[in-house]
Amino acid sequence: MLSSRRLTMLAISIGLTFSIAFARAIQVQVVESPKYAAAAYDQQIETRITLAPRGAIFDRSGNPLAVSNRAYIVHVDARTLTDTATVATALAPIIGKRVDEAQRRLEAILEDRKSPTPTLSTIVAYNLSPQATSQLTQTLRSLARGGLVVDETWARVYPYGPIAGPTIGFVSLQPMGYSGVEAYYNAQLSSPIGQRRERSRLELLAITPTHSGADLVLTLDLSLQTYVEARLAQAIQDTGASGGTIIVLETQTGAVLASASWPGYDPNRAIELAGSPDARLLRDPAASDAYEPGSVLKVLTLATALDLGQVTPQTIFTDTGRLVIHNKRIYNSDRGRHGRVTIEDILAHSLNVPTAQIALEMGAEAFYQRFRLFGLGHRTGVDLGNEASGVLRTPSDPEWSRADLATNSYGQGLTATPYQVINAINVIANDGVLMQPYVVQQWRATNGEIVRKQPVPVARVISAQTARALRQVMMRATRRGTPRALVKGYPVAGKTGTADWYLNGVQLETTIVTYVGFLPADDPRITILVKLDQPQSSQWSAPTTVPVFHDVAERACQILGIPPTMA
Amino acid sequence: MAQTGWGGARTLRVNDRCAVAMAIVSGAVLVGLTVAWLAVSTRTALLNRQLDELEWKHTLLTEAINRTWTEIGEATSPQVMEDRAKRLGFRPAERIEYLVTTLDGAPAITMTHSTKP
Repeated sequence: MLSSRRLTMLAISIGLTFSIAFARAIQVQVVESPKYAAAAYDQQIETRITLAPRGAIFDRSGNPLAVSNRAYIVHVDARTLTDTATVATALAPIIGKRVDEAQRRLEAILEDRKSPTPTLSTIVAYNLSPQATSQLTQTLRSLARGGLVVDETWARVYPYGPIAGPTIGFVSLQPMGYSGVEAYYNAQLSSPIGQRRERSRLELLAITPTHSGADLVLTLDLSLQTYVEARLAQAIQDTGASGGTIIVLETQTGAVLASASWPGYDPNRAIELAGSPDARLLRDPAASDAYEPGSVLKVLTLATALDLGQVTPQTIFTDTGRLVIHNKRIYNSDRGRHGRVTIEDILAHSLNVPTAQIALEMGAEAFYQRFRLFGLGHRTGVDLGNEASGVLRTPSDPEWSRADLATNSYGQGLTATPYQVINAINVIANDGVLMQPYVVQQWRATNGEIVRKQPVPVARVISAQTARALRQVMMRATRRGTPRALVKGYPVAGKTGTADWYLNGVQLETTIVTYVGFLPADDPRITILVKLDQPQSSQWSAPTTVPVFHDVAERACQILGIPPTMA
Repeated sequence: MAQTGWGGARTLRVNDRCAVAMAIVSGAVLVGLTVAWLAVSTRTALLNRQLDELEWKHTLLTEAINRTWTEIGEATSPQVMEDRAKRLGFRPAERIEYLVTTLDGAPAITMTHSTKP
């Protein structure tokens, strides 16, 4: 028999035990209920990411330059991958590698994942087609092996390959635009990430919709672009140049009709190139590479002097053939002394000394104010990623001297991108108005709204009368100085430029040559820049760039339907 | 007492009927609500399925459109077009001659262009 004391103790113990259990039940069921409910809810809910394709890019005639196709990315799942040899056997033919290479890659990833701070990407294949992906998954299933995860994505495809590659740019796997139009219009082209939250396949809780990015229509003309690229490649071969750029602008709007650079790249191979020594190719030299343009800029100095009333087409200058300023000796490129000359002679013979004299007489303030108005020293605003601004030292810079004023007047001692140079010369063709060059003319949003870009006049730099007068002078100078530039049926005005090539600040024996011209010069429709780096056949612009200008101008008139204006 | 007893029994019978009626009504309401809930759930589920299917179709159409654009691009790339033209016997013209006529009666201009780069 239990004593009554013991019975009391047992009752108290049982009571305490139940009280504790009850209290815990209250804590779990009431006090901490929201926490557990939320945890249970999270376990039941599935969130799926939905991706729509990036917007497509078309040329002005609707040819598809960049589109997004359904593709797959294959990752390694380090927790479940064990038999690397078998998985590598299935993977190797799909990714075009040898089995031992594929296995080494898988093992390296597994090893890397053991470290607290892994550095290797787990991606073993990207942009796989649906067929290849299906083949891979079926092979792995038949071998009863796992360890790879396949994710759906959209792969960027550039159907025309390298054509207009630097202008279009490229995207990463994310996809994020990294150069050219892809970078500048990344926000418009990107599609928002969608989400579906559901408790089961039948119980949809919330949906964040996604939609394709906006489609862009470029100003580029694919036919002209194709010709320009072929002609540039021919010029590189003929002259032995190390690189080059050709740009064709619509004079009155600043629309870029063609832009080619050598060496270019195929955006389809951009991700491969990004991890190789050739990664430096992944840029658009026309917008990103500033160089010393040389005598092409004499046109700007003369335009400024004419507009300020400092000179007229009839003004006579005395070319002494030599000028010393701040211990810097300035000569003409032919080292000659030309005596009494007009601005037409200055352009026809590309004389440095009288050009420098005109700039010195004009004064630094007026000179640099106009040169900045011509768009030098700051970005043009062309809608391409990574545009450079070039360097234009002004009197406010401590390193500036009057010798800079003299050399800047004929395009030396400063740098500008090909887009800056052609846009500045285009002012003369466009009756004195600086335009903002542009590559995208409209975009079509998913809701069907079409946003059209209007040409943007940036500033009036010189008067229309000055521009017309200078065009006449340039036309005559072109007939005398570079007759090879003339196109039958069209009056042409243009200017050559040659500058020394520097490597890490050291002047080399080679040059950069440029020719910028426009036609029909009496009513300009297109402006063309041709630039070649380090030509071997000649160090001068006339024999190297001018024939290229002629051919591009002639073909552009045919393709664009520009009628001849003279017999 | 008898009257009271009889009255009490009658009250009880009335109350019983009320209770039964209340129970039937409550049951009917409950069944009605359950049916309504099931109907709404089913409808929601069906709509979710439809939404899923439409999204899937939209994705397939987007894929097909993009694939077609790619095929158009590849089929019209300069190299492919040039090869096709050559197969068909076309050759680049050595010279192109064309006549420009003006609307205002000005003399026409005959132009000749070389097409060789």
